[in-house]
Amino acid sequence: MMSFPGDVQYTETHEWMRREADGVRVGLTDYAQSELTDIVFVDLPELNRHVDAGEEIASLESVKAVGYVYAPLAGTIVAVNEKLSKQPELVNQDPYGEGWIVCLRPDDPEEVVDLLDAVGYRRKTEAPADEEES
Amino acid sequence: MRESPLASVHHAAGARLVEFAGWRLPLQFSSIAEEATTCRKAAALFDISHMGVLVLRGDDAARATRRVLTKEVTAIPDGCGAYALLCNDSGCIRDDLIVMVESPTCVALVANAINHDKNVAWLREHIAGLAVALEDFRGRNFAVALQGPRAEEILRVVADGDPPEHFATFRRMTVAGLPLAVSRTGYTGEDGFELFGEAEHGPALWQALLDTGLGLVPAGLAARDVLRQEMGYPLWGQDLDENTTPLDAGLKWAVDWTGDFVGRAALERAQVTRRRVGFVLEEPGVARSGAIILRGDTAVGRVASGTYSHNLGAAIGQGYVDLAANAEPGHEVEIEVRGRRIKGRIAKLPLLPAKTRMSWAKARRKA
Repeated sequence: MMSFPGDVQYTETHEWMRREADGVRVGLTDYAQSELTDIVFVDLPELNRHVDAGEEIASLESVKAVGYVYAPLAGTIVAVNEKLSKQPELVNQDPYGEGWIVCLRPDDPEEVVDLLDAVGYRRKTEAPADEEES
Repeated sequence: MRESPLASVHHAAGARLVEFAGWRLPLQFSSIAEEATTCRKAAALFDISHMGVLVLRGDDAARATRRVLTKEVTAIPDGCGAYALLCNDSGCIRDDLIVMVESPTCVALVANAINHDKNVAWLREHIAGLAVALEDFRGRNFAVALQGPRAEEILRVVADGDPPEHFATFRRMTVAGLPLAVSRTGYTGEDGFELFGEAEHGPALWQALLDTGLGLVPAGLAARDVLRQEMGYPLWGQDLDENTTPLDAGLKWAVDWTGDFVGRAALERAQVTRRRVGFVLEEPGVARSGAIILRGDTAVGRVASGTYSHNLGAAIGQGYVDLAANAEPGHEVEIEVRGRRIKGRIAKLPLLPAKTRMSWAKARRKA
């Protein structure tokens, strides 16, 4: 079954983000990894790179297609999940845990970002427009 | 959208479905990697009910088929088949298919779903005036492919009698109590069978095969695409089209020059300027259809199909390169993917050794 944990926020472009002590952790949602199918390469960004909200920060190649991860807010990349270089399949196996992609330090820690909660995101993935297959 | 006769089974299995050539079919059941690797180690079962089955019946059946195919159909023995091409008037490939000769008066074609309507119209036009009738089985039959080193062992558990022995032969058999046509063919490079029967019998046959418990897994179109690319088998619409001749595509072996056929005259005059080659990437990334192939700073071709192979542990594919580039297996190339150049090498196809049985044609030559 598709998983929609309640401790993260979701973007329209299928990232999740979780506020943690050292910054904001970002990954690809379970729905997105399933749509992308078996991931075989993850192209990670460089550490300390500054990114704007909505900027592409990583690309993921699957057997079938390529997918992108966009920054949910403006900030600096303070950690990348190096494990994905050897085990890209972690994104498929544990998208909200071991398969996280980057950690960002937000420019403005107080910034309120307009994102979806689990219920809203789930509704989005179940909407007819998202049933199209690539 | 056409539903497979096996739709209920796929739904129950939780398969992820995809639209392909107007059909809704399973893309994957578990993971693409697992399905593609299990097919080479044990066996995998594919729903290929979308494949167009056309039967030509009548005194002129073999002669009529020969008229539109590159293959000398009249020389194929009863119960045997061959890979053949349907060319247009320019000698380019309208479709690629398997032709099966039951007798000189009954010939079956198994062709690509995407070309079905086009094929039916073309055949009707070209058989007009001959003693032959065309029967279209679309929607009336199911078809599944049982592929892998354990395919024969699995089939024997549920079949009455022996399966067809040589590659590209077929026979009518009772399998799981159901009347089927079984051919020793496939699109994976493994030994295996393709089984055809009445639509309503599909779910029972599918379940009976999976119930043998011999390591067989259901697999989807995504794994099938990976497996065919590992073998360098072309897919019409990606690697073959109406602007590509059999000579460009390296399919000269599928052309018999013994008689006349549509496109022959043009094909005799055709200039070959490019050829189909395989490649394996040596750096991270996947090169897909349309990506440019370079030698040094010179663009020498384009990728037609590309994917990642878990069986080989590398991104692979095939494409067309200019003949003048003299691209030989082992040569280094670079492929441009989203502005980045990825190093790879031209590779001999197939990328993995074929495990198919000896064909009837080869067995005859040996005898």
